[in-house]
Amino acid sequence: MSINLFFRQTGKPKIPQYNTLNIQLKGYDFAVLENYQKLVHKIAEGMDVEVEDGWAVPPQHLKVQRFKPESTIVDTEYTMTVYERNVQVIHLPSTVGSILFEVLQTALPEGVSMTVHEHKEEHEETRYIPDAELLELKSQLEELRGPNVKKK
Amino acid sequence: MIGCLDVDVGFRCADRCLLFAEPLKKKKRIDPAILKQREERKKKRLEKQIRRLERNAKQLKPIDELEVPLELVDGKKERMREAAVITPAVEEERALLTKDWTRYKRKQHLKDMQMIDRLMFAQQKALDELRQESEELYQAAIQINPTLLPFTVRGPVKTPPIKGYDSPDGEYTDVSKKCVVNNHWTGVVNPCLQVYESNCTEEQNM
Repeated sequence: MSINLFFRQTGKPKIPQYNTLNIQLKGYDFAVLENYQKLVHKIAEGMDVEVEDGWAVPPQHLKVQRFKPESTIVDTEYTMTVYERNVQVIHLPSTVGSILFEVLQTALPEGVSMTVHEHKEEHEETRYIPDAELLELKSQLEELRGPNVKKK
Repeated sequence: MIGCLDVDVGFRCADRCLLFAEPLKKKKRIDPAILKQREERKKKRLEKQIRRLERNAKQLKPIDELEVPLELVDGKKERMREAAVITPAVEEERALLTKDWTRYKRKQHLKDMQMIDRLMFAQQKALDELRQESEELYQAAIQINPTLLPFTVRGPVKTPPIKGYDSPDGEYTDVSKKCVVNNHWTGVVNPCLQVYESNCTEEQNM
């Protein structure tokens, strides 16, 4: 596990690093999903990859309707929930990254899918409850800033 | 109170109106500079309020599977039992079992890490050899692949795909609750007020 450090000293210039990455895990069974999140964290730590954060996002409830053939009459209807967990890694070198993604892919349990993407601000915002008052004030500000100045 | 006798647009209403109250005040010409000042002040006040609200800690959305269901919370009194008495023999057996399990898991983890180490070692060796061969290729090899991210991979499925399966028509509808915080001043929070429905195509979903 310390081989990485040893060889990194000899290499120059440095190996390029990815931006902050989100490993997004989605699955239908949250017990399996949480266990896999733990495994992702363990593997990343074992590879000397900095794990910054790990969080959960409220699940997505899907109403699935199956239609009778060649019609829109509902045959069966059921609800499925898609649970989500995220692991954030920073300062991931490109060489380590390739191995990490392959190892995580081989360790994927049944019914779990993994998406790796860069962390953007909207990902952070979806975790929080939007503030109705704040949105109202912001829209008022937009009105004021508009070209037509309305007098009350 | 002013009553209008004439409904003609374009004529000033004041000419045709019966005045029941005091005479109409004349519209004062306010300086545009003062107008601007008022607008600026309003803007600043709004911005200050926005900043104050943003400074307060934002609330994280509640996660359904991590919340204790209300039925359990309500029925706590009925369901609570006293802890069972554990004899020392049973306790020791449990401790030994836990140790066996930790030993097994540790070996498993060690094997995994050794495999990863072999992979990284082999990769490093290959990169070193490549560097000796040509510096350009080495530089190109360690670059980040821009087409790689974002990528999605799915785990295995329990049964292999059924041959000649005719997938039925259907629709996925997202019925997750949408959360909105309501009242700030009284501290009352009404998360997940509305039910949000939208039709998504099958491709957009998992």
